[in-house]
Amino acid sequence: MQSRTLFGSYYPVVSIVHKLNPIIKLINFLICIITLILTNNLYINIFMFILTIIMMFLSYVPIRFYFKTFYFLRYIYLIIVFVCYYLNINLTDTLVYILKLITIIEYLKIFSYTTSPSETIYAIEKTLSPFNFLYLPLNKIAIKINNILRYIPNLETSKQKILKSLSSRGLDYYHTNIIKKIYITLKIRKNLFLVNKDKNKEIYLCSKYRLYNAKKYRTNYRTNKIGFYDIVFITFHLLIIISYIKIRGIL
Amino acid sequence: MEIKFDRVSLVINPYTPLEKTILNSVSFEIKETGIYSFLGKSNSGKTAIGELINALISPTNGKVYIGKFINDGRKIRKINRLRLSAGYVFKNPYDMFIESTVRKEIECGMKYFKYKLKDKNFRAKDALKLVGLDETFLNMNPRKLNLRDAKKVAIACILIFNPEIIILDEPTIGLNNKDKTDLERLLKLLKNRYGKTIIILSKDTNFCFKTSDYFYLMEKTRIITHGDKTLLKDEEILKAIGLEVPHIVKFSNEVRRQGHKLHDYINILDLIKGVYRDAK
Repeated sequence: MQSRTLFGSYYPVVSIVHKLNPIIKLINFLICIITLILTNNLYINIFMFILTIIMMFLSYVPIRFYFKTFYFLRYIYLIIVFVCYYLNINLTDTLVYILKLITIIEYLKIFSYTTSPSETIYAIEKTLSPFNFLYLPLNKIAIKINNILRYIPNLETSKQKILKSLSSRGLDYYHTNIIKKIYITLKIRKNLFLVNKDKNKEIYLCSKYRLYNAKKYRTNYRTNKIGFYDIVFITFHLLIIISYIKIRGIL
Repeated sequence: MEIKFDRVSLVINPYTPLEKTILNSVSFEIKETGIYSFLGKSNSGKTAIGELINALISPTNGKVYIGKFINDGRKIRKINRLRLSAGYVFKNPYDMFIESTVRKEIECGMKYFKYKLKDKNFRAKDALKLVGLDETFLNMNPRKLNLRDAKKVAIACILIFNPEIIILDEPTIGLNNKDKTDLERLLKLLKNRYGKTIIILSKDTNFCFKTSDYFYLMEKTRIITHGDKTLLKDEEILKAIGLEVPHIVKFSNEVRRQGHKLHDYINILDLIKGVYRDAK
C-alpha cells in the first residue's frame, strides 16, 4: 500500500527516455560521472545539470519524485556549503561541487526510474563485454550490480512494513521527536536486515529450483536498436567530452 | 466503541500513471459488540479498512470515526490511545517481530503504551495460554517459529494490552483445522465474556460463517452488500464475487434441492446430528 516513490524503483510509463537503448543510457551515465569527476569547470557543470533536468522532464516521471531525493539530502548539501565556507573556497567552486552532486544523484535516479531490472542487467553485460577476453564471469557481475542497485527499494519496503507494525503497538515513527526516531531506527535495524536476508535467500532458492545457472550465457529476445533519440543524447554527452578536452588543452 | 466509515476513499500514487484506487466511497457503521467479517478477494480493499481503523494510513476522501477519534488525513492527537483501543494483527506475523524472545515481543506493546503493571510476566503467560501455546515458547526466538505458532504469538501480542477492538487480517492462513477451532473458541470467548468488537478481514468463508455475526462482502474497492448469516446462504452472490461457498451451505442447499427438509446449521457436527435425526 505504500507509494512508489522509493529510490531505485522502476517507473513504468512510455517516454523518450524509457525507450532509449539501455546500453547507450549506461554509457551516457558513465560519461556524465567521469567528466563531472574530472572537471571543475562551471559551464560544463551547468550544461550537464540542464541536460539532466531536460531528461527528467522527458522521462514523464513526476518531478516531485526527483525532488524528494533532493529534499532528503538537503542536510548533506548544507554541510558541503558550510565546509566550503570554513575552508575559504570561493563561491563558484562551492556551486560546482553542489551541482556535481545533484547532477550525479538525479542522473542515477533517472537511470533507475527509466530502466527495468532486466534491461539494466543486459546493459551492464554488454558494456562489460570488451573484458570477455579475461574470462571474467560477466553475467554474475551484472546480476550482482543490479541486485545492489535494487537492494535499497527492497530494504525500504520491509522498513515500511515494520514501521507500520511498530506504530500499531505504540511506537509511532512518524509522530515522534528525533530522539525517538533514532531509537526506533536502532531498534528495527537488526530485524530489517534479517527480513531482507530471508528474502534474498528465498530469491536464491527460487532461481536455483528454476535451474538458473549464473555461469551460462543467456539468450535475449529483446532487440535494442539504436534510434534517433539515442544518437541525439549521446551527441550531447560527447559534446561534453569534447568541451572538456578543449578546456584542458589536451588536443 | 463505535466505528463509522463516512464515504471513505483511498487512492495511492494520485495524479500519476501508477494511480490505484484501494477504496471507493465506502460507508458502514459498527455500533454493537460482536464479530464482523469483511469478505472479499485479493485487492478488494480489506486490509485498507483495518489499517484505516488503526490509523496506520489516512483516507484520501471521507472520514473514519473510531470512538471519539477521527481519521481524516489530519494529525490525530493522542494517536496511541486510539491504537491502544484498536489492536491490529498483521497478515504476515514476521513483520511484527522485533525482539529476540517471545516474552519480550509480547510485552513490547505494554511497554510502549506505557502500561503500569507489575505482573507483566504473569500477563505474558496468560496471553500465550489464551492462544493455545505453553510457557516453553516464552524464551524462544519469534523469528524462528513456524507460521502457525508465529500467528498465535502475533495474536497474543495484541491480546496482552486488552484492546476494545481486535482486527485480524487473514487469521486462518497457516492454521490447521484444530487451530481454527481453537481460534473460533477464543474469538467467541472474547466476544461473549469480555465484550470485544472483533473485525475479521478474510477470504475464508468457512471459518467466518461459523464465527461471525455480521458480514460485509467486498468487491473491487467497494462494499456490495452486508447482512447477517443469511447473506452467506446465497450461493449466487458468493460465486459472483469469486468467494468459496461454505461447505455446510453447499450441502444444505443441495439437500433441499433434492426435496428433503433440513434445518439451518452452522456447525458440521450439528449438521450430521440433524441429518441423522431427519433420516430417522
